[in-house]
Amino acid sequence: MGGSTVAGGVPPAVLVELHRAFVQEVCTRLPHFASPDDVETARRDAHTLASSAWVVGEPDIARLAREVENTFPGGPVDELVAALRRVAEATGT
Amino acid sequence: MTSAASPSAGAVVVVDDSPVQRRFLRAAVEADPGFTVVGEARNGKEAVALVARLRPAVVLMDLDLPVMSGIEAIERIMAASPTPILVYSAHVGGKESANALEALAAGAVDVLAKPGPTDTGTLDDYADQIRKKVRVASRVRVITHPRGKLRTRDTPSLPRLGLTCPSPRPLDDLPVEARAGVKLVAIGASTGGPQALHTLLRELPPDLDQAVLVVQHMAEGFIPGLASWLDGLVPLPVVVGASGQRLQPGTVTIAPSGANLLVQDDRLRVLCVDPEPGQFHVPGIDQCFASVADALGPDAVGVLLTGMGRDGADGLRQIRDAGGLTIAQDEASSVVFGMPGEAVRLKAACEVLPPAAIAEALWAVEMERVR
Repeated sequence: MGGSTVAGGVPPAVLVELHRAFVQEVCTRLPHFASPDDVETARRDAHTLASSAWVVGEPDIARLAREVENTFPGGPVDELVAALRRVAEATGT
Repeated sequence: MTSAASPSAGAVVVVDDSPVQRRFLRAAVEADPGFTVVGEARNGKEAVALVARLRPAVVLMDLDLPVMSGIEAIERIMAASPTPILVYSAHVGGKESANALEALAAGAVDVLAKPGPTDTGTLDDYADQIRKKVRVASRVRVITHPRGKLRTRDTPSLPRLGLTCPSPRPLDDLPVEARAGVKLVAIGASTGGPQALHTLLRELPPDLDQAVLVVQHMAEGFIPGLASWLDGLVPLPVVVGASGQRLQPGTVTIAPSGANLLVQDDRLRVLCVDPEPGQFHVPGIDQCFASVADALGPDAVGVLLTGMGRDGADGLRQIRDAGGLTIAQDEASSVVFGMPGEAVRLKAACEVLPPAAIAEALWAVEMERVR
């Protein structure tokens, strides 16, 4: 991989790609929280988003997602959905 | 992508349903010029097919996968195309931890904790950890697991050993010289250790008179899960050790993460001690075995199981020099014949045996005590 790196590790170009992939992931998984017909799918999505959000430097979303994963269909689902919508809207998706 | 009949050096397959994780893992792996991600799979089924086709040197695999779970994918890969599999799991406690240990029993060579909301490290730290683990995994020679995994065996109801109880097998048939007076069996293990421990410990009598102490190299946070997993599979109770406690006869105590567990005296009191700066494996097997040799001399048995590197070999030699019985796992049954191989080279092992035969040797020790 070319280009400069962040603290000797992940290049900035890759970080941009990671953010793009995160937005794609948010858009794919967001509907599962808005209308949770399938609890297992929503939990799996929250599980995945918790780790992905950490990777892209979104610790608040990571925390909310982990809480939702552990408590769904209870827990801070509305807060998580709002935060995910902000991510999607920020990129005009 | 090209297909290959034999493992491709430096080739890595990444398995995760998250595009974020797959992209990150690719970046982390390929920052080492010796490795290239040759394929990505989104679920376990894709992973099985991809590994069979590409024959990578290493597979990096999440466990929580759609279509086919990570555990089932590992079973199928290890049965059909044995490949070093490095598991990364989001949770290190609770259900996910049990799954990770199940993955090790199925043949995965190591487990890495996926970062999450409570992690304080950086992305670069994690990428560095991945590269280190991939380098180590790429050097592991794996063996076929025809059953896919070690299934929980019905544990036979073993009789209480004693003068009036029948021996499970004649003492003359037992593979090592039985010894009286043994108070402690100290076991060290690393890569491939969980499944070797399972095989060994499940064969021990439920009322063993010796205490069993295990030092297993494992990612931070997985030890309680290992204890819980083994506790459900073997006849003896399995607990995590703590500083200041006394090891109990008939109980398997696993050394906790983050410190060296040392045996203080022949009453089996243990102490957790901070490692020296630069110590590579924590808890250290050498440190534990050395303390066992000092505290118990001939009243200890040392067992060194599968693992990369040489931790435990010097300590096993110290147990032998102090008069204790020492056993190394044999090459054929070892996932990695590094540590036990080094013990053999140092002439630290009185016997070299597969795990089930090691259990038989410990039966012999038990029989000698009660005779």
